[in-house]
Amino acid sequence: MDALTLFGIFVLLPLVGALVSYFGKKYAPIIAVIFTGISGIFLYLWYGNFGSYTIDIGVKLNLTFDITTWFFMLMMNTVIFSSLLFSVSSKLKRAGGFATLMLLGFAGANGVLLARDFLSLYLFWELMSWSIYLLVLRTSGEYARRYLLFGVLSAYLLIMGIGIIYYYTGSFLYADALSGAIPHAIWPWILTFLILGFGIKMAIVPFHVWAPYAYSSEQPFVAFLSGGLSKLGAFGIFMSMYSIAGISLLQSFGTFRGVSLMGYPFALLGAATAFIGTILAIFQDDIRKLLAYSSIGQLGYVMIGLGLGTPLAIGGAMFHAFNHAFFKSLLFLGAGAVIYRTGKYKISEMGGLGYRMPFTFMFVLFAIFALAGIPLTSGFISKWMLYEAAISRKFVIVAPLMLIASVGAYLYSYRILYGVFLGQLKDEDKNVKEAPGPMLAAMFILMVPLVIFSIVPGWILGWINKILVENGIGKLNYTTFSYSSAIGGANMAVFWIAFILLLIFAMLMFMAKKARVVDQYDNYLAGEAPPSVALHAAHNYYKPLRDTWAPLLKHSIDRAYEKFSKFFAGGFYEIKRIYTGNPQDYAAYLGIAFLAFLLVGWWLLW
Amino acid sequence: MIRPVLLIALPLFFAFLSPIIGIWSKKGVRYLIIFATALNATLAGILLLEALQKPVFDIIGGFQPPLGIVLMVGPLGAIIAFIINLVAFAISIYNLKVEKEPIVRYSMLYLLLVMGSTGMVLTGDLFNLFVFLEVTSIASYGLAAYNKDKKGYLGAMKYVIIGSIGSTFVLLGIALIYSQLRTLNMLDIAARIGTMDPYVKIMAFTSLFLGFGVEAEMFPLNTWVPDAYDGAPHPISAAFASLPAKAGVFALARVIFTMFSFTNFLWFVVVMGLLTVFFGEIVAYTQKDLKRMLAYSSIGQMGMIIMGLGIGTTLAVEGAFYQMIAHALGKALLFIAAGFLIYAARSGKIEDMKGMARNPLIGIPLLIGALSIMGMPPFAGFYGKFFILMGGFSQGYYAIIALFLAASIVEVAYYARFIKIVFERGNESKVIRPDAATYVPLIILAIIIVVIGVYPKPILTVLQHVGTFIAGGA
Amino acid sequence: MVTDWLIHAGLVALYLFLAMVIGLLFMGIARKITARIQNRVGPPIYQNFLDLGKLLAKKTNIKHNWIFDFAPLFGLGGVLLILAYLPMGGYIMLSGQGDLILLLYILAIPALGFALGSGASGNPNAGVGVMRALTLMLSYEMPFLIVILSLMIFYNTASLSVLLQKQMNYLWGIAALPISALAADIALQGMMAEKPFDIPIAPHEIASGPLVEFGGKYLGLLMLYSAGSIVVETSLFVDLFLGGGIVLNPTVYGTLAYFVNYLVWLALIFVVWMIAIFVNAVFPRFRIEQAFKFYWKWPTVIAIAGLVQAYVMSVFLGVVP
Repeated sequence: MDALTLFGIFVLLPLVGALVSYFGKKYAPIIAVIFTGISGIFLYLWYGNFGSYTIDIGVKLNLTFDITTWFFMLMMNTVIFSSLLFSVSSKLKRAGGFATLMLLGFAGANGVLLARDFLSLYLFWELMSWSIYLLVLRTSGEYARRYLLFGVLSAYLLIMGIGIIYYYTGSFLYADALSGAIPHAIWPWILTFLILGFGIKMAIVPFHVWAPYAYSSEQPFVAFLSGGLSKLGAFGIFMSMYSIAGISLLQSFGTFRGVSLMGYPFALLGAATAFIGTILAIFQDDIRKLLAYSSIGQLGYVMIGLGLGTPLAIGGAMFHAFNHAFFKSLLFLGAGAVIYRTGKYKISEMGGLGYRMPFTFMFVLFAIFALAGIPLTSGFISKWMLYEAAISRKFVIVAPLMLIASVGAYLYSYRILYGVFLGQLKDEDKNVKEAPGPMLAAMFILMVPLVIFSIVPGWILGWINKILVENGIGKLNYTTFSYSSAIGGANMAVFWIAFILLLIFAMLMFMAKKARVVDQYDNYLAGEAPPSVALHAAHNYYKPLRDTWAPLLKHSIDRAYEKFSKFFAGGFYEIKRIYTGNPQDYAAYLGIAFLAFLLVGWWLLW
Repeated sequence: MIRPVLLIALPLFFAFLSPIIGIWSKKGVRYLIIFATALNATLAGILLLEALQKPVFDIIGGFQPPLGIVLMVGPLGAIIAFIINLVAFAISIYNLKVEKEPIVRYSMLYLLLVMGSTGMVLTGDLFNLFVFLEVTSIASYGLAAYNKDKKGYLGAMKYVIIGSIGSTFVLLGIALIYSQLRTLNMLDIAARIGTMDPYVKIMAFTSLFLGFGVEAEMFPLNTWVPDAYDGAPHPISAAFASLPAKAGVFALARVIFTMFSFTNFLWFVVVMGLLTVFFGEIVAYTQKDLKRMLAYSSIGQMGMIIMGLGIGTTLAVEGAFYQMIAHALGKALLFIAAGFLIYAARSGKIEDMKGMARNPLIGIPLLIGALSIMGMPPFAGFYGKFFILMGGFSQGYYAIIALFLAASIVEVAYYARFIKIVFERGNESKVIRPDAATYVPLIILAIIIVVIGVYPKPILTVLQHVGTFIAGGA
Repeated sequence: MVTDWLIHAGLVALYLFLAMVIGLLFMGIARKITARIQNRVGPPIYQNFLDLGKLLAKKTNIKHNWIFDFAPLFGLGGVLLILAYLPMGGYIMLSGQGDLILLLYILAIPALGFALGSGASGNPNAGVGVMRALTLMLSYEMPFLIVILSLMIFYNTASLSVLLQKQMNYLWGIAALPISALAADIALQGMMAEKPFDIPIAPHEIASGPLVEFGGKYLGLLMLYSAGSIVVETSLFVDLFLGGGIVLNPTVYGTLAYFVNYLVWLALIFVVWMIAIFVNAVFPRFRIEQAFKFYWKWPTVIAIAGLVQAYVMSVFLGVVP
């Protein structure tokens, strides 16, 4: 493998695919699926075939294909493959543009993952950024604008960090940053800029306000955005903290219970994100917004892990990022399937669809298991790692927030399950059919790893361990089926065997007698039903809880931003008055400028 | 081997040919300027290849420099001339859409504008530079008022006032230099600049800097820009942003680097650049009128270029030149698209343009142009902005860059607002298809923007000569 | 090796069976005691066995759809799984193979299955009931999780078996961390959904909430689920704070220790259950938002005080149990 092959398969191929699929009209998603499939196959074949390369397009792009990149590419590739597969049957308007932009975003994401110098990082970062912008623009211009503003804010924070590094080292290479040219006291600035810059893409509080809006776009895209692209933030933070700066440099800023003081505040920020995201998710009635806030909360967990920076914590963050990539895109696709079939977004307007769409329901159920951390999926293991990482170092602020946020996740998970899939089937949905084949296939692909890695966590922990070892962070304790920390551990083989045996026992007891299926009205209304009675209790579901939170929910970060922007826009109109439109004034400006310039020049001379 | 003077002589020739052709066929005149600019662009391309080997000097009238007039074409001058002519070619296709009479005079003035701008870039003589500046300005005044409506006249009037003051400043600077050094050849000035009285030197520099700053849209000399751009016909607005502005800023670069190699004064240039960016972007945010918004945005972009020149490192100046190219292409594209949108919406107000860009023939180039102006990869605007920023960092201008980035966010805000409106759904019945004269130049410009953004190597190879330029070479 | 495993499995099955019996018995006792407190006669103690027999023997069983079956399946299977991971009388069963965090998450399996099944009934009372149950869960978990955290950082382990070991060697949790134990007991009341926190069930308001549509074998299996839950919840408290009832060291006294410990454990969970029942018998019911406000106020403050104590003792005073 040489530089051009690597670059060609992972960046140029999607770019070519983007160009080709634009003209594919109706078949554009299929073409795009094929293109992502090809790079997926190569990704699989090239595991272990790692190395560093340089591409010269006038500026030098330094690319490295290593285990970290591979691991994140694996998520990215699977998620976009399934999302595009899903979109094959979702009858999008202007499918050509959709596929093109998805592939552009994919190319950008791959580029970010491969990049090992700041120029290519920034280049691909922005490429990804604007293709997302245009994808959001397909649904709503105002949402897109919010996204773009935060997107460029993120990019400019990165620029600040990159610029400071460049000032001291005169080089864009990651590897040169640690050459010692940068004074010790400058590093916190650099890291803060970089982490916040990447954190915006992860929708870290208080930079999360773009997410609920952007995530209300077309579901196949949102699955990729939330599942795939938001992981680039995690990747970027990981790279800047543990590859560019390195663990020993972080530790040199002082430690608190073995955790760098540079990382700990970000862990707190992550904990706040997890908590706020979860609480807000509970109160959403729009399924897309609910999933968006949930996404914010879950990425808070990743941030916690990256901030704490012990091997277990980073491993947990990586694993959680991986899980989140799969279960959140699965959830968005599941929501997409439901929306595709019913055309509704509001949870309270749906209901009972699980009886009509059993496969979709099962897939979503597994995703929710993973989201809530039920041990039947790998979602548990990553949360376990993060908890144990915090508890074993006795972090008494981070740990409870994380734990209670996880309980909150049960609440909103059930809101989806009950509101959408259970309860009363609406009359107008009586004829809803199961989602089409490609959609189910896409969801199935995403579900498989969640279950497999729950039974055999050793496989994925092996990759993660390799990442940790390669970056000199440490290593994890694990075997094929079990994993342990300093204070505990669990064996998934034992768990699964016990679970299956006991479930079989329960099933035996249950199977003893046959049950008869009766209509819903038979019990509740004693069979005395008029043709239709609304019995779905999903409207305003957590109202009592919401009432208790109302005084706090009044303060919204959203509105703070709006006030902020209004204030500035008002100022802009004041400044505008300089351009009076009167040529006499303008001539006066010229004279003043001349004098000022002259005086400054002479003053300097003197 | 071609002589650079051809680039000036040919448009002049065609300009005077056009009334003659116009006697027979008005239509012929329109195609004549397309042919003339295409020819000029080709010649500029060939000249660029030559200049890459070594700088081309063209002595006019047989007088040896420093006495005679000389054209001095280095790789940088050549590429700017090339881009100017290329954009002029693209715009001349769009000129087919100009319906108002008298088209013959319009064509003449347009060719004079091209000729003047090219000349400003190619010349190696200070007084010659002034002459070309005047040619450009006068052509611009005429074109700005071409619409013969109130907006046009007012805009042109402001332009005339500010422009003539600017020219006077240039003349003052030339007089000061000549009185001290007894020469007007740029290289000669550079060689003897040390002998100048420092106070007079500052004054000369200030005069020249401000004089050319008028064309380069520097704050606070850019007050004519919005009115003139707004009042002019659409192709001319595009041309204003790409031809005289680039020539003006190139002249600034000549003043800064070739003639006066100041080092301790450059931070002031950076500050002026920053102020230009700041006021340009902020006022652009408040505009409701599309062309005015683009005009102010143009000011912001020019400010960025001036900043890049002021920062003065190889990387930053490289970025400034890249940005000149990108801005010439991108802003011309946007003004042409704006022309279409205004035509389609029958109004200059952005809010009336709901969904007008939903046709891909107009929408995709428009997006490419806007993204390029915002500095997104893989479009031309990316490298320029990135290099200027990094150059700024390497000189330690942290605060200035941070402020600049804040202004850039404002820029993104108003572009996104504009994009939001023109791509909004729900106005499908009124959306019209652009005709070839509109979308051909758009597509040409868009393709160039994408190509030099995806594969910047050719441009960057040319811009490697920035080192010699800064050191005072051609 | 294989025989070891089989004996182990058989013992686990025995313990699980006993737990179910104990659970049903406790339910009967509770009914009797509540009745006596309220000056009624009450059913006999074995009444719940009769009820169970009747329900499982019923000929007519109705259901609404296939998701409805999740409730008994996951309910019973899940609660048995929890019991298997919970040490009873010092017999650690599977809890060497999974720590407290795993246990916390397994706790959700039967509850989730139950919630799915009752949601699938389409009865609005069920939906409201589950909503209340989940809100209540969010309420009491706040103090409870902080309490568990205090224990984990004080004993420096997340494993229940190690926790029991350390309590045996050092001090029972209730002696070392009395404040946390208080908070835990208050949380326990909510966890068991006894008055004043029986809001999810609330027979007079929402007709037993989630249970409303279940009958026959469904209700029978869910009754087993509730019986198991009683043992889970009380035993969890005993394991966390009362040393799991271990008074004799099994490595020294062998089988005898298991017998004695089991009896002590039984007595202790009975005490914990009785406290809950007495409170239940005399209190009226909160509204759900009152419950939420209550739990996030006083028990949380107490739990935080306990956390501070644990933190100070383990970090600043260097107490290593």
